Parts: sequence; structure tokens; C-alpha cells
Amino acid sequence: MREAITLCTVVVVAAPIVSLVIGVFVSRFSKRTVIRLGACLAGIAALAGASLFVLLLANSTTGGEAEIDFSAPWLAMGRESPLVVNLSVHMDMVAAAMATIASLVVSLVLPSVGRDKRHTDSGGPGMFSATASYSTGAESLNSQSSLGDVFDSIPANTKSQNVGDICLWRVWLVISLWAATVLLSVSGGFLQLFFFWQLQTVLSVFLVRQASPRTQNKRGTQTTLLTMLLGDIPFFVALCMLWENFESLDLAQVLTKLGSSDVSPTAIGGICVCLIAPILTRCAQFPFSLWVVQTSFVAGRVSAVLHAGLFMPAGVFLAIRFQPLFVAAPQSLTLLAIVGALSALLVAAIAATRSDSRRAISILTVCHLGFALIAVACGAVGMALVLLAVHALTKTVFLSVVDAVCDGENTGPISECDGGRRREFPISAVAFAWCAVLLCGVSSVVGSVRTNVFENPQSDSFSSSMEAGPLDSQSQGTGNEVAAASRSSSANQEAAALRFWLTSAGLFLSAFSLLRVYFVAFFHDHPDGLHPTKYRESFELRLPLICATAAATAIVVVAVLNFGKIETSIVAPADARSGVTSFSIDAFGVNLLSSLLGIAVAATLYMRPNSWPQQIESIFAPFARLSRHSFYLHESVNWLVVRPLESMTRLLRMLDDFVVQRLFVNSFVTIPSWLSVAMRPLQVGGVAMCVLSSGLAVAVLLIVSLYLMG
Amino acid sequence: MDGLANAVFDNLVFLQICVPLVGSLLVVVVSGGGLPVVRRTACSNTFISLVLTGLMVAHYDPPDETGVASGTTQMVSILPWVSPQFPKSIPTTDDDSSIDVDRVSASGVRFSVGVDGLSLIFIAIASLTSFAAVWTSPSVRLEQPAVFYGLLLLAQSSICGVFAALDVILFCFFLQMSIVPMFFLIGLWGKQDRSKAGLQYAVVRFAGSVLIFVGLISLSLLFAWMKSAEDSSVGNLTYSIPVITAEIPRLVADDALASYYWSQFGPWVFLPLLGGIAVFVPLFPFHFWLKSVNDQALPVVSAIVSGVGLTVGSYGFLRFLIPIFPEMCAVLIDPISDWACLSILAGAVLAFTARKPQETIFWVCWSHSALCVLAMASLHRFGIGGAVLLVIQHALAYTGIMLLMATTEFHFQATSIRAPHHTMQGHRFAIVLLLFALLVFGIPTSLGFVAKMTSLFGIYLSNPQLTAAGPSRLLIVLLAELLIVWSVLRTLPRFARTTRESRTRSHPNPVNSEKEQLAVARPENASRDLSWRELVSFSVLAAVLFAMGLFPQSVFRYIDPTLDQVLRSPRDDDKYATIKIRRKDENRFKNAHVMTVAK
Repeated sequence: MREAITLCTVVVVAAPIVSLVIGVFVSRFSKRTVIRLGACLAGIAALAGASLFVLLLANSTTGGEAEIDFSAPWLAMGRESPLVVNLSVHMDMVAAAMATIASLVVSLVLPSVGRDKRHTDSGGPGMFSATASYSTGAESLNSQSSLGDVFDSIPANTKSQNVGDICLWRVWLVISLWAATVLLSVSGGFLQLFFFWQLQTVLSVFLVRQASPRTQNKRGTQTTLLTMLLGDIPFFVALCMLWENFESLDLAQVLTKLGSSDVSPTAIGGICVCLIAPILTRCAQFPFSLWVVQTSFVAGRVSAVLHAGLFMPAGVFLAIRFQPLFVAAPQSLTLLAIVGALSALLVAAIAATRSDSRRAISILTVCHLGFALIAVACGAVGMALVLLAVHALTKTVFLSVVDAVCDGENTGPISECDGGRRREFPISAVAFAWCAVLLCGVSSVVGSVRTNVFENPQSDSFSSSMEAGPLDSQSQGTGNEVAAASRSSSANQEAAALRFWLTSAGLFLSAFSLLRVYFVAFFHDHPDGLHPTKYRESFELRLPLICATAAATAIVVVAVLNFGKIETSIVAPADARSGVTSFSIDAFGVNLLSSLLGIAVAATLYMRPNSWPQQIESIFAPFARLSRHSFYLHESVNWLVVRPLESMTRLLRMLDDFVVQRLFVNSFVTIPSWLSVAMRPLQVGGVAMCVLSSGLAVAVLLIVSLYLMG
Repeated sequence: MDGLANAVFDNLVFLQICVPLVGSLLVVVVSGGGLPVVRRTACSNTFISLVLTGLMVAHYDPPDETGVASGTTQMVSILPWVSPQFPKSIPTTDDDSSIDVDRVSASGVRFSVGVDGLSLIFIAIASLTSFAAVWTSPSVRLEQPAVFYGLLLLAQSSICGVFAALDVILFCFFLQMSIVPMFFLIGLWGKQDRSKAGLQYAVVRFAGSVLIFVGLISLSLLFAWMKSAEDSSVGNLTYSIPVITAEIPRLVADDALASYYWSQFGPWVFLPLLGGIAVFVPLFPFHFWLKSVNDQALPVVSAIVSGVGLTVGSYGFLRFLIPIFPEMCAVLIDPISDWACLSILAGAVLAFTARKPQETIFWVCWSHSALCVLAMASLHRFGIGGAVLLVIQHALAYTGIMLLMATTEFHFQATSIRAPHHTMQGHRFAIVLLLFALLVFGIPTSLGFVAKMTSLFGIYLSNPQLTAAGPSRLLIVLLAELLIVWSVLRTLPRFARTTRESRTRSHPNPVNSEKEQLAVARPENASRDLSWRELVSFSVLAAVLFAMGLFPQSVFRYIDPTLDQVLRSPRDDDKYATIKIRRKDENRFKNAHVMTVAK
């Protein structure tokens, strides 16, 4: 058993690196071989990861302890209390799950990701408008104006110039991102996590730039990078605080010391809040959701990689990794849950008002990751992982279908949409519908999780709870603790109620937004008849759709059958966990009802063309306008950050120009001129003449005096 | 044969200084052969220098855990210079090449050079950047190429001398000598106001070097005085840097009278040194000459000034201020750190407001050199170690990106990088530009990541007994970094945009309005992409940065023992207890001081 686990670990970790290294050599001969090799290796890695997960699940006796833990020294600085950083491979069930998700998505997407053109003509005809215009490659080449111009100087053999060409540059980026994600998931130290976290950021920014239309890429790239940096700054501060308080950056050591050390709760709270910041920025939770809105222009399959498979889910992974630390500061869990629920609601509302399908689905990622964060905050790590896996696979299906069936570039009125492609894309229609139902169902389950870490289940009306945590006895505290808990119970109940209703509303809106796209794409028969399309449901599209749908279904089935075991196995060190996670049947009922209601409303409004959507759109027009500006986030950033900075810089530039320049530069220039003015009489003989004249005068005076005296 | 090899290995540092010096004479001698011959001679010379650096690194034996097994200063060459007195123990080829205090403690000014882990790294940086600078400029037809390359090599020799000098006077000699070739390089080749820029550079650097000279001479005299307080029977005037560095902390810790002298006169020695080093870094407001130099000088020269020239200040900080004046650094940790913070912020803001990519790059460069000072001023082991890495990253990455811009100008005479029609258009250029932009950012897997991480750790964990403002300074630095990233994101595309514009427009041989301002002329068959020579030099710089980033321990192996010595002084054990001793015994030692002066 041990050997099998080790072998699977090696396969999972080595596959992306081997793919990258061999691909570089193979690319000189055949680009398609690179893609096939990468996809095959990703598939093998996904299988190995899934096997690893199952093996660890079957073999888990200790609960949460890593089965593979290897470390080698990388950096050791100083001799007294040195800064030691080890490169460690920490393979547990969470890492296995994350690596499997990443490998699965890459294996499904890689065969077609290189063929995505970077412009808006990547899909079929315009779904939401018959007058969709496509920019040609030549037009786009002439209209570029951003950092990506650097890419444009890369020769034609590494980038796509024509329809059907393989963009190898993008393939490299995807494989590198896959490698970074796998290495992030097996990282066992804070610094190592930070390292691969930043590497992911850099690669994803390039991918965003490379896969976006040229008119949108500049803003999207900049916003993404700056938002990620906004999260990375507190992340780094947290690392410093961790070192200051624990004198270690190893995850296991910190968790071990957490229970025994006398670190102040304030410091732990500060660390947790700092660690939450990168999670929120990466998962694009409110108020950091602007970058997702701006990067939702990227091609669908790349969007699947970025939003569903590798980049954004890393935020949830980080939350799962740090969850035992967050338990020590329950306020951070409250913050995570509330922000997750609020983001889910807001972003689902934005998605509901979007009239372009690709963007609506991309934006919905924020909503579903918000649900996953709620699950993490409640301690249901297994549920979060299941949602993450199902979300990655279903989102891959959605985005692939949308890319093939619709074109998400235009923002015309939705009532004029052209759809009804169910006969031309039957497999896509079935896969989309089934995946949508799966995702709504899993989200409803996840939204029904509760915990007593920051809520109070004793005073809760939802009494029928199924306990999933192993440490229920620890929740019974001493008398003082109970008294303190009862004092804060009302506030906690309010927070729990707020989170619950936000989640329900978010579930309704997300189901509505998702199914709206489905009904418009496949059922919305325009009275004038369908516009002809040259796109057909090819085998290359069907195979990934079927695989992804089957995999998502299998995950849900396995999760339902082994729910309790997964939850009890995927936990961090048992001594760091003190909360009780429960699943409320009543809450699930309400959430499921919300999701079904959303589906029903979407079906009623969009299955057949009618006047209701127009009327509703006119009612919600201000809301739509609001959402188009990302809830004034952009304006707020502009007025709160950009304008003051510009004013300050202007002031400093004036200081530099008028004070420093004049005081120093000009003085250096003028000093010699002053000196030269002063010395000029000496230079031109004026002084000598004066001296000589004076001497002569004195001599004459002396002679005259002597003459007069004598 | 073995003896010769040993002699060569033991005097590698001396050779490292001499080879560029000889090369500078050689290019003048062969100048009759025209530009190709001069170019080849200079390239060969820098290549030999780079090989010597590799041999130095290979031959250097890092001390073991105890730090004394093979000594920290190695490959020492000592020659009589001003004073005829020759040291009693001449280094022989059979002995261990490590140095001990007695060998360099003889009085008199001598040409003594050697390396410890710190100076080894700095010399390697100087050789590497000079190699890249000379190799990226060969395809240019310059006026007076022999003089140009000769001055470049002379600058390399003098900068290596600064880092290798073991004698105070020799250090000052090389420091001032390094100003002269740079003055001519700035003043003779460049744009219209180049002579003004050269004058500014020379005046400011000379002022700084005079301050350092005054500080170091005063330090030697003060040391002699303190030594005579301990033992008045021998002549104690010495200019040896290792002796002064090792003995002053011991004297202050052991001898009460010496401690009293130190407390009375130390600050007056410290201040000119600090001022001189602040000019060399440069800290705000001594930065104004940077703009003129970067505007007016040739980008190759700007690359050397920004890359290597600015490392001298950091080296001085590490070599003199921290090991010799720990109390003064401790007392002034807040003002120095705030001063550095101000410079960092000013650099970031000016980079944000810059209109041209070169301008952005050199303001970022300035901000990062101030970051080195802030990290060193944290007086924390991590901060100082990170600062050394930052200096390496700073020198190599900025030299690389400045040389890229230099390549553009050299090929196409574009005095402004935004001028259309005159920029590089090849894919190699695009990839290398992207790579160096990422290296400047400190992308993970590069040295910049490790450097920034460790130095920021040090800034945050600044000696808590001395200051409590570490976290706030860290936040300031991080905000400045954010601003820098933003500014680079804003300006770098402008550079790239010209690439696109020039490709889409069809002007086969456009006329540059600013053509006359350059003393260079475009060759007839100028390439539109990087040549293989340029590619090799950039690849070497990038490979070194990535190798060090992936294996940072390879750098720490060399610098750790030296940095341990820099921070380890007898006073550290009692947490700067000498300050208390000074106050306590002040009255008691006043009488002793009067008596000693009377004698």
C-alpha cells in the first residue's frame, strides 16, 4: 500500500514537469504531439491522483496526517535562529484532491486550448444577437496596445496567427500553470505555498493577457495583477508574523505549536485576517471581484483553466490548508463565511443581468467559490472539495459548450437572442443540463452546512442535524465558556441567519443565471427562424463533455456514498479542530427549493421567446447598468486610490522639479559661474593691474614724499 | 608548474584588478586596427576577467561552521606601496592563502587586496556586468572606440579594486579612481547636455568620496589612539581594514579608556562616513545626478552606473558602518531607516509619474537601492543577508534591462525609446525584454524573489530592542512595490507599443530628428533583432539570476560567514552595553584621557 501511494505521488508531481520538459524538445518536431503528450500525462496524473485519494481514504486511520511527507533543505540563512526553508512534499487527501482536479481539467481542456483564437471569433455565431461582429486577426493585430505586444513579437511558430493554428505559447502557459498548481497543492510550508502562489499569479496574468481580446486585455491584465498583489501583501505580512510568533514557517510545526504555545489571540487573529486576504482576492470575493469581470473575456477553454480548474480554486485550497489556523480565531471564519455568502449573492446578481453567456458563466465562478468558502468556514472541508471538483468539471462543460454554441462577446438585449441549438448540439444540451442540475444540487448541500465554531447550534431552530465532526465532546466547554458563548449567542445567531438567507438568495440567482444561459442557448427559438451556423458538435467537443459529465457524476455518487468517511478523514491535525460541523436538513430543503425556483423562473422566462424578459429587463435596467460598472468598484477605486495617488505624484514631481532640481542641480551649475564671475578679474588681469597700479602709485608717492622731504 | 599555478591561484584577486587595467592599455595600443580589433580585444579581456572570477569563486574556500578554519579573507596579495616597510610574513605559495591579523597589521600604506565572501560576490557582479556591457555594445560604430572601451575597462578595474581593497588608503584610491573613467564616459559620449551630467556626477561622487576619505582617515587615527590607550609601547597607526574592523569592537569591549575615546570621537567619524555612503547609494536628496546621467549618458554607461556604481554605497555600509559602528547604527536605526523609506517612496512615486520607460526603470532602480539600505539598517541577520542578495539582483537585472534599451539605441539611434521607427522588432528582443522585466519584479524562481523575501523579513523583524517600526516600514515598502509594479505595467507597454508601431509602418530609412545628438552612428546593415553576442550576454545574466534563485544556498554559502562576522562583535553579547559603560564611567575616564593627551 505504501509503495502504491508513493508511486501515485511521484506520478502526480512529476507529470506536469515531465510534460513541460519533454514538450520543449518535442515542440521542435510536432506541436500536436506536445498537446497530446500533455493531455495524456494530465489524464494519467488525474487517474493517479484519484487513486491516491481513494488509497488515502481507505488507509486513513489517523485522520488528517499526511501519508507522504518529504522535505529537503532549500534555504538556510544565519546560524543563530536561522531562517530555514525546506522544499517539502506534503501529500494528504486535500493535496491529492486538488492535484486531481487540476490534472483532470488540464486533460480535458488542453487538446482544444491551443486552438482557441485570442479574439472574439472563437465560438460560433452570436447567441445574443444576430448582428454579432467578429474582429479579424488583422484588425486585432493593428489595435493592440499593451504588455502583450511583447507576445506579439514572438514568432509565428509559437503563436496563433490564423484560424486553426496551434498557439503553443498558450499551451506552455497552461502546462506551467498546471505544474505550479500541483506543486502548490503538495507544498508543506508557508513560504513554499507563497512561492507557488505567486508563480501561479504571474503565469495566470500572462494567460489572461494572451487569451483575451486585444481591446480588453490591458485592463484585465493590470487589474488581475494589482488585485493579486493586494492580496499578496497581507499574505507576506502574515508570513512575517508567523515567523515572529512561531519561529517556523512549516505548516505542521506551526499547527503543532498553535495548541501548545502562548501566542496571543490578537496575534493569531491578525495572522488569520492577513491570510484571508489572498484567499478573497484569488477567489474574487467581494470587494475584489472586479478582476473576474474584466477577465471574463478570455477564451472559454482558457477561462475553464483559470476560473474553474487551476487559478481561482487555489484560493479555496489555501483556505482549506489554513482552516485549522482559522479555527483558533473564529472571527476569521465568520468573516470568511459572511464574505463568501455576500459575494455569492452579489455576483449571482451581476451574472443574472449579463446578456453575454460566457461572461455570465465566468462570473458565476465567484458565486460557487463563495459557497465553497462557506463550507470551509463551517469546517466541512470534504464538502468544499466535492464542490470544487464538481464545479471545475461542470464549469469546463459550460464554458466548452458556450464556446462552441454561443459567442459571448456582445451585450445586446437578451430578448433578441438567437438560440435553439438543441438539435444541432444534442450531447452538449444534455451535458449542460445535467451539469447545471448537479452543480445547483451540490451547491445547495454545501450551503446547508453549519458549525458551532462561530454559530450556536444549541439555540438553533434547526435541531435535526447530522453530526460530521469527530470532536463533538470538545464543544462542551467549561461553565465560563458556556456563559461566554451564551452572551454572544444572539450575535452569532444573527450572523448565521444572515449567512443562511444570503446563501439561499445566491443559490436562487445562480441557478437562474446558469439555466438562463442553457434555455437561451438550446430552447429559445427565434420566431424568424434560426440563423444558419457552420459549427457542428464534433467528436472533439463531445468527448471532453461526456468525460467531464461522467466524472462529475461519479464524484457526486462517491461523495454521497462516502460522505461521512471523507469528512472525518480530511481534517487537519485533530487537536487543532474544535468545532462541530453539522448538516441541516431543513436548511438544505430551503436551499434546494431556492435553486429549483431559480431553474423554474429561468425556464418560464427563456424557454420560449416572450415579452417577459423585456419587461423585467426594463424594470431592472438601473441594476443592470450598475452591474455593468461592477457595482461602482471601478469608480470607487478610481476616486479613492488612483486620483489621490496621481495628485500625490504630481505634487512630488513638482517638488522634485522645483525644489530638488533648483536647489541642487542649478546650484551646482551656478556655483562655478559665480566663482568664475568672482575670479574673472583675476583671469583677465584686472587684479594684476590693480596691484601693479597700487604699487606704482605707492612708489610714486614714496618718491614724491622723499623728494619733498629731502 | 604547480608553484606557478599556486601563485596564480593565490593572487587571483590581484590579477582580477590587473587584467582589465592591462586591457584598457591594450585597446589603446591596438586602436590602429580599427573598431573590430578594439572590440575583440575588449570582449576577450572581459571574458578573461569573467573566467578569473569563476576561478576565484571556485578557489575560495568558505569557512566552516566555526568561521575560522580557513579564514574569511583569502587570496591576499600584499605589495609595498607608499610605505617602504614590507610585511614580515610574505604570503608564500605553499602556505594556506588565508590571512591572519598579524600579516596585515603592519603600519604603512600598502597595496593589499583580497576577498572575503562579501567582496567576492561584489567582484563577481562587477565582472559579470562589465562582460555584459562590453559584449552588448560591439556592433556600434563609436567615435574613439579605443578610448571608450579603455575607459570601460578602467572603470571595471577600479570598481573591482574598491571591493578587493584591504587598505583604507587603497580603498579611497580606487574609489576616486572609479570616478574618473565614468566622468569621461558620461561626458564624452551621450546627448547634448552630457558634459553637464558628467560634471554633476563627478562633483557629487567626488564630494562623497572625500567624505568617506575623511571618515576613514579619522577612523585610522582614532584606532591608533585607542590602541595606544591599551598599549602605548608600539606604533599603532594602521590602515588595514581587517585589522581595524576586528580590533575596534574588541578594544571597545575590553579597554575602558579606548571605549571612552570611542564614545567621544566615534560619532564624528561615523557621520562623514554615513554622509559619503548616502551620497554613493544615493539616498534622497542626493539622487538628482542620477536623472541627468540616465538622461544624457549612453545607456551602456547608465547601465554600469545604475548596476554596479550604486552597489558601492551598499558595500560601504556593510564593510564599515555596521561592523565598526554598531552602537551608532543602533542609535540611528530609526533616522536611517526613515531616510531610506523616504527614498523608496520617492523612487516609487517618481517611477509612477515617469513618462518614459528608461525613466521608470532608473527610478525603480533607485528605489531598490534605497531598499537595500533599509534592509541593512534593520540590523537583522535576515535583512542584511537579503540586502546582499538584493544588491546582486539589482545589479544584474537592472544592468540587463538597461543594456536592452542600450541595444535599441545603439542599433537605431533612438534617443528616446518612444521615438517611432527605431526600436527592435525581433522576437528574441521581445522575449529577453519580458524576461528581464520579470527579473526586475522578482518573479518566483529568480534571485529577486528570495532577495526581496529575506530582506522584507529582516525589515519586519528589525531588531526589536532598537526599533518598533519594522512592520510599518514593511507596509511602506510593500506599498511602494505595488506602486512600482503599477508603474512598470503602465510604462513598459509604451516601449512594446513602439515595437508594434514600427512594424506596422513602412518607413525603410526614416530620419531621426534627434540623430545629431548622439555621438554614435547606425551601421549600414544593422540587425533588427538581438545578435548572438548580445543574446549570450543577456542569457548569462539571466541564467545567473535564475540559478541563484533556484539554489540560494550557493550564495549564502559564501556570504554567511562574512555576514556572521559583520554582525558578531563582542558588544552584541551584552546588547550594546557599552553605551551604558560609557555613561557610567565617563567622569572616571576624563582624567585618564587628559593624562594621555598630556603625555
